[in-house]
Amino acid sequence: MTNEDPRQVLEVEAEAGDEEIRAAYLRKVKEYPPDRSPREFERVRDAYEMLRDPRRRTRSLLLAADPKQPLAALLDGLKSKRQFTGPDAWLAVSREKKT
Amino acid sequence: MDIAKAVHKRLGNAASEELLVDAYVARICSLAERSLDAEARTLLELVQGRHPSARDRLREVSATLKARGGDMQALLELLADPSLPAEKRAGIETGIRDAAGDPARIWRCDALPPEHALRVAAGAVVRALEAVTSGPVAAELLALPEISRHSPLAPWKMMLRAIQAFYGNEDALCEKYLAAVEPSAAAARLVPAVRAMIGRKQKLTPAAEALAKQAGGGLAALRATLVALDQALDKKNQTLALQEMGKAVTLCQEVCPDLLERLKQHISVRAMMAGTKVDRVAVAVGGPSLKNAWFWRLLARAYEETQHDPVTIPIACSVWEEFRKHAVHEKWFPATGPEIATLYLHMADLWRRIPEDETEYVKHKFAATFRGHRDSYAGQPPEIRALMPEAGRQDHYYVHLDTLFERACEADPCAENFQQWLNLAKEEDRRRGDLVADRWVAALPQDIPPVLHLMQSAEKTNALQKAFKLMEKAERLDGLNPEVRKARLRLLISLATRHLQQNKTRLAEPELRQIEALPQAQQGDRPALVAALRWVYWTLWHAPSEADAARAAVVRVLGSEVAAQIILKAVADACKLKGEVAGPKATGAAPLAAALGRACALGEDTGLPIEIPRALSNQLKRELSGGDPVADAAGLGALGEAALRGRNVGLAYAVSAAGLKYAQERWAEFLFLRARCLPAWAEERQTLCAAAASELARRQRNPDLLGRIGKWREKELDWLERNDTDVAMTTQQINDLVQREREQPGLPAMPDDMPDGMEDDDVPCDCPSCRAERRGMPRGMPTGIPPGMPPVLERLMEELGPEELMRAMAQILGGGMPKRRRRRSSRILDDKDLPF
Repeated sequence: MTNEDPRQVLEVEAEAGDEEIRAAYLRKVKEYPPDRSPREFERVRDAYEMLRDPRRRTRSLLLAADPKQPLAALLDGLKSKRQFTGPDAWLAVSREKKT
Repeated sequence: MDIAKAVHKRLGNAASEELLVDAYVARICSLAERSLDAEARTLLELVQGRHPSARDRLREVSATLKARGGDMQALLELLADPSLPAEKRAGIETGIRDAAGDPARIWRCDALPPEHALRVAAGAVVRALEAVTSGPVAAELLALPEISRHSPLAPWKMMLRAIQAFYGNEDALCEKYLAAVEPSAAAARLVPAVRAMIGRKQKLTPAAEALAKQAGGGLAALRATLVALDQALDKKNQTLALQEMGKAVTLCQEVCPDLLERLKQHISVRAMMAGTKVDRVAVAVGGPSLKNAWFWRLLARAYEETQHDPVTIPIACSVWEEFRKHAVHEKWFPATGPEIATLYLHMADLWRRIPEDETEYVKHKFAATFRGHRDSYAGQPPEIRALMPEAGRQDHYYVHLDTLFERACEADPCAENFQQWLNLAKEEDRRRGDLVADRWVAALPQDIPPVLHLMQSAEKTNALQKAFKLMEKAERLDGLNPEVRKARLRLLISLATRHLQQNKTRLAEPELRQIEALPQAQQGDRPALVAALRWVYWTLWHAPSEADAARAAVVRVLGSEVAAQIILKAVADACKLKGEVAGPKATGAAPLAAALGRACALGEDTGLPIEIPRALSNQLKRELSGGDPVADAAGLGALGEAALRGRNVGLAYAVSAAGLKYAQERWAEFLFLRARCLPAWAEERQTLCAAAASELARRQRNPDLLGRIGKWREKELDWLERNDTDVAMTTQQINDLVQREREQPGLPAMPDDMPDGMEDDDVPCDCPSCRAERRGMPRGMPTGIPPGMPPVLERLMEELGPEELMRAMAQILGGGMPKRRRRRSSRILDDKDLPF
């Protein structure tokens, strides 16, 4: 068992209840069926097993917050809108002398 | 260079000059590779001046150096020569690949004819780069058949596709193309910037940072700022950290405003952990962070991680209490149920991190310094302020472990929670344990463990009738439970023994008959014990022939006169039958170890304390140290325990040696026995033996032995040692340890070079038995009651024990608490450190 947050695996919020967790699990199983993605399915299954039991779910909820994690980790999984800039900004980098 | 110079100096011909020029070329290339372009150019000019005949040979080097500076003309001129050898062409193309930071320069270069493949390819790259960075393009447009995979511009082809994948949000595909770009090519200078924009950590040049900020939507810039902030906090550079905090908050507001509140919460907690001034952090991040459940959880975890002072544990619990209120309010979970119980149990786990002897000190310190969390609610929205603790009415229930378990059991009345509460309560006080067991029975009437606890508790206080009734209740609940089955036999034996003690033979008769009818009394060697009770019974009736028959039955079952004598003596002592049995004597002929092992195992099985006479020790030790196995493993184990109970450490050590030699399946027990036999100054051996025993017990799933080892460790080993031994041992380590212990046949002698303070003469032994002998006086106190002590204090000492009395006196007289074992940092986090 790894230390990854089961809520992140199932992509559910901290306060998600039984129904939401089950719905997220079914959605993930559809995305990663066991015959095609056995390893990913295993992760999803482990996360669901952890979250379906209220005691284990709460324990993982309490320990999920990591005050020591790098602040940049908050941006993991976020996607910002990418801007078309024209070639100049790109060429400014490729023209730089090797250091 | 030196050799080439020497050769040319000596010979001075064309060949030696060629060799010297070759060496100079290698030197120039080496300087260029190390980006020492100015030095390379100076050397080149020097060589061109000194060796004018080699000017042609130096043209290629000169062109490559110019290309590195951005002037491709000279290099491309060389390529225009159709007679250029293939080898040289390949070298020049590599130079172009590594220098072509701007393909437009190749496209516009007059040195090559317009239809030259390289110019055509460069034109294609320029057009494609314009297209791909200006808007969405179709994949077909980037097929670029003009650029072959051997072309110096092939890395640009991969880079163009990576840029297209980046704008199409296909990050995995983008990474695949980036990996295909030749690392030394000029196009590869864009790789870190693109990687940073798809969320990888990269070190960027200023131009790359500008590109990432412009094209990456600001996320890369925010990431870079947060990395810088992390570094500043780690280095405790407050000024820089505060600057970066402001930058991060501003960027976050622009790039992803949804994340702003969470970022502020994390920054404030990280800043607290780094010791940054709270008010300055609040100003830097533009006001206090939101004190919702997310924040309190993060803060509680931060206090948990601050392990340098145990006072942070009750503070962490107080923060968890704030979390509980907000989590319920925000509907993370209901107000009661397993979730809340898990939170209480988590707080209880935190308390267990504090060494037992420091718990009271920590509570005292917490009560004196903790000022609550009301200050944290300043500037919060009304829905958060509604949960602010009332001034002066704060319930610090979380400093009481018992209350935490009680609340956990109320919130989630399940067997696991009650068992934890019962374990704690019975350690504190038997009556408290009984109360918890009663609560358990009331909540879960079908559970058997609380009934068994109450039965055993009644048995311990000699309330045998009550214990018997509880046993019958347990039988109704689960008659097949092995504990219950053993209990009936044990209780009947206790009842019969008590009646025989009181000479009430008529009352003992029905109990003896019941014992004889029990199927479990017929198993193993148990009939010998039953016969021994009958022997006492007939002896009290003054019926010598029946008594002799019963005695013969004991000998017959055990198959040994000595073992029978041991059992008869133990039963006679238990029934307070005076003068009937003499203790067994060493015969020298009949083997003792096996017989005594059986007797001890029987005693252990039926709860009868067996005493091994000291007179038999020498013969037993001789037998145990012989070359052959002398008893079965169970018997040996029981023999060892009996020896240890009788404080015959030498015999117990010999038993552990025999066990480690012959009974591999019971190594766990014999290693534990060895740990307990060793003297206190051999603490390293003790610790290792206990750790190996614990590991083996864990593997064999023997909770009983694990529990015994745990209790012993808590009592006897220093708490720092206990932490070390929690590390699991490998099979190889255990085997090596057993091998080393086998090679130590006798009790260790105290080394001469024992450090000061370790000799028994200097420091009185602090083990429970020695303390009991000294009437419980703690280390450093004179033994016995000091002369001249007032009678009131003398009575108090008898009642409370000297340690408690010392503690109370210290508090009354203002001398502070007794000195703590571990030195702590003086800095204690209080609510001044609470983040905004």
